[in-house]
Amino acid sequence: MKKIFPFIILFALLTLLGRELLYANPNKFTTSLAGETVPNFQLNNILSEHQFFNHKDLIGQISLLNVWATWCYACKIEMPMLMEIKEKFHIPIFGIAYKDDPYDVKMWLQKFGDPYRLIGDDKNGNVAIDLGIYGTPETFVINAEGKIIYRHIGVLDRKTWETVLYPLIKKL
Amino acid sequence: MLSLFGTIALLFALFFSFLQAVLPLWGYRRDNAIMLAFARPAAYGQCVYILIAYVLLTIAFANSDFTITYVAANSHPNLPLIYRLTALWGSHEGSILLWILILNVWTVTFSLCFHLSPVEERINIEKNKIFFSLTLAILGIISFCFLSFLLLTSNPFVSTHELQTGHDLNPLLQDLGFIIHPPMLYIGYVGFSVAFAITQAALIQNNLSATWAILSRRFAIAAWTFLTLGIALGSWWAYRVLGWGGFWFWDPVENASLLPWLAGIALIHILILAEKRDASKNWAVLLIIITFALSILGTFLVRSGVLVSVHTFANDPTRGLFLLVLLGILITAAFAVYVIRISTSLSINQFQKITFFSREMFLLINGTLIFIAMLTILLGTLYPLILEALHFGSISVGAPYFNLVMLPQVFLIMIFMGLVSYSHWESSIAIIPWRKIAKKMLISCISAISLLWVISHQLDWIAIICLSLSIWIILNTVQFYRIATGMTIAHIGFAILIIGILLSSVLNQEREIRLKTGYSTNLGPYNFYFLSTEGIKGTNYHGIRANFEIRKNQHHIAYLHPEKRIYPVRDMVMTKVAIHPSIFRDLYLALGDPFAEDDWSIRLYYKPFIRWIWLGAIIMVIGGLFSIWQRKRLT
Amino acid sequence: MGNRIVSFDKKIMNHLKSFWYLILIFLIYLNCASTLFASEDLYPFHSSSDATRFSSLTKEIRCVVCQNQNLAESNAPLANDLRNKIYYMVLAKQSNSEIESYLVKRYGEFILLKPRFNITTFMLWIFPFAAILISLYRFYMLR
Repeated sequence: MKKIFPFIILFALLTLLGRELLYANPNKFTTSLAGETVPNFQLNNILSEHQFFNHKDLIGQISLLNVWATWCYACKIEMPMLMEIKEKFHIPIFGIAYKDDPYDVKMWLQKFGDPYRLIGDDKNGNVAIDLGIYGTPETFVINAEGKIIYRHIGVLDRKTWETVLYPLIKKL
Repeated sequence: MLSLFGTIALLFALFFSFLQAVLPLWGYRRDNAIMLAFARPAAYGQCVYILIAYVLLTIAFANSDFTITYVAANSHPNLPLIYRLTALWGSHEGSILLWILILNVWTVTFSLCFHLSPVEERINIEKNKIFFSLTLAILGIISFCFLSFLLLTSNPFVSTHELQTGHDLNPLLQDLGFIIHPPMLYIGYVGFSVAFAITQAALIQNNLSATWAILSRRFAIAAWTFLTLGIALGSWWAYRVLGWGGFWFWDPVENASLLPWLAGIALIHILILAEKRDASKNWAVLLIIITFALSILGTFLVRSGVLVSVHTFANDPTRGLFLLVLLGILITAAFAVYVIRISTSLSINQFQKITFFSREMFLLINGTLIFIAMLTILLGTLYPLILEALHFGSISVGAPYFNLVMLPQVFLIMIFMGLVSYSHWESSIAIIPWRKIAKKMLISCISAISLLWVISHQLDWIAIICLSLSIWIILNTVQFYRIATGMTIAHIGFAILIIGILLSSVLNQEREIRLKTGYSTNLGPYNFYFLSTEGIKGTNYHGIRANFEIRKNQHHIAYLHPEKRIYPVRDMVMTKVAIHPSIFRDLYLALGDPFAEDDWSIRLYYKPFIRWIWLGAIIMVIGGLFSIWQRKRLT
Repeated sequence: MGNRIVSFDKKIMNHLKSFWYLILIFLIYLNCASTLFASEDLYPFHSSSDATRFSSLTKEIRCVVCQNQNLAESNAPLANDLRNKIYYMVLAKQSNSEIESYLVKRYGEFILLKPRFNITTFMLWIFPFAAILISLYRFYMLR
């Protein structure tokens, strides 16, 4: 037994490290908010000051909640896809403008189109933290009861939509 | 052109390392003295070609030869010359080349040392010759492995025909402390390979004599000394450059250097047992293999991207895999030799009875406790990986955990470091001098409490225990100054190191504040006046410098000039910290984010005794050097 | 008689004037004095225990968008936001475990630099102490 022990430890160590090297995916960010109702929030509508956007607006239909910003380069890339989701697939998209400027948002929407039903003005980023955001863009799939079903981090590209998000939505 | 010559030099070196590895081993098998004799010339040949390769790469950096991809990725025409030359080891490929160069230099050193200080040479010349060649052969194997790794996956001489502008050296690394830190670390890691090779040779020859123990110990101490210096330099650099006054972060890569450091300490102490009492050879051999394995594991962890760290080089799974396979082969072979010999040369002379409160027992306790400390850090570092592999989710094991868990272990080790001076070799003391021990303990505690009160007017449990134990160690160790100078100095250095670490953490004060020019703030008894800001420009950066005056009780203490620099080539912003050093405290000032050109957020730190950390480390290094010198005299 | 009344009024007026001047000077002085030390702690607290709590919390929470830093030692925008969030939570007298649970719910256990003690981290926390105790015990049995 004494003779084999060093080999066992070595083997275990090498296996562990080898496995991590080859199979580990880079930090799959998990959120235990999955399955939970969207945290309560109330934001001003960034486009018209006297309107509001709050968590109750998310109840009653399946929707996407997209956290974005005009100063975020990656958000530019996903705009065409968002427009397509709105026009072709007719899934409502709600937006949260993360630490953004209303004027910049208006200019942006004029340039790229407006896929959003409502956009909340998260000036200080508090709602984003409540959602557990790492950065922009991030998109949540919300079901009709206002519960978070899935979170996608990063650009919402066609592949993600077709292989992950749309099938998920269809199932709901 | 240069890249071609470089690669050819590496190929020649590979060839020689192959000869160095294979011929002596084959010669040993066939009892062929000529083949065995090839070891030395092969080693020298390899060294020459590695030196050529290294010099060629240095020239490429000096001339900013951007046809070589590696040079382009790490240098820039505006980079000052000294940083251009030392950027050679700024990234993966060059650092492996440096590693191999250092391995060769160690091999040559071993070769020269062996013939300059014979221990049993008169007794058995032939056997020693074989021992020497076998050691070189093992070193040759290691070198061959690393050279193949270099040539197959990480050739620094890869050239390109595209026009490249330099990408510049990471500005965090453009610092004098940085320059020396990796080479010192590598000298340390690689030095343990020599102790490893010596041990394997002795195992193959089935002869673990006092020669083996003395020789291994000497190289282990030398390696450990450089490793201490390397770690201390890294910590000092982090303190001055990173901007938050931290000096150790329990980052996985830092831990990777601490593991062989700790295993090395345990090794050095167990080898005393092997040398003086011909005992515990089992454990000594195991420790050498483990220390060597840890030093290669460290290389793997830094380059593989397996762990989340600030230090990691670019992630490349192929390289990681190669290193892992290398590690597997070398250590499996080492363990195999160990296991085969476990029934013969390792089983004789194990002394059955260790008497309680003998010097032997204390050495064993020390070895055990330090080994456990090493295992604790290893477990903490790998634990997130283990949990992830078992699909238990991902957690973090960070500084708060390590600080909490290591503290009692360090205190325990310090208690025994003091107790050992009451023990003797080969004796079971009938009466343990508890009275004397208690008296010294009391003196240490009282002096600690009084010193703390006088210096800082703060009494904190951890500070009291730490200072008492350090004084306890110093009081109990000075008596050995004549007999074992190296050990005395090293142990005292350690006590000072611990004082530095714990007191600076427990007694420090910090403040994060928003300040405008013309205004001031306080930290403790010190006033910080924000005088002005001005723009600055350097060879490869531009930025803003803030001017502060520090006063205490209306007396002027110093002017400090923290800066915020922008390095355009790499698009990086860097904070240049301003420190007012003193033996008993540092005043540390860093700029945060600007609200306006003259309105900044500032971080102020008052750090008592923090210089004692690096003072302690240097004293330990001096102790190590004394040890090696003393050994020479005795033999 | 009339003159005496006038001069009396004048005196009062003069007094009142100087009084107002004094008030004005005092206000100016107050303003200057307070702005002379108008350095604001970035995260001011009224109680020092709250300040200590905030300080140790930011050192125990990971900056999730950095490579391996805690919140106290990071300049990343998300780190700033998280620090602010923790600041307000501490001001609202929420306990450490409430704050930690809030963050873990959104960012996973990964965000805690000091792993919580549960069945999966059992080995991690027990090993150091158990190893020491067992080895010391074995040495003690040598007597």
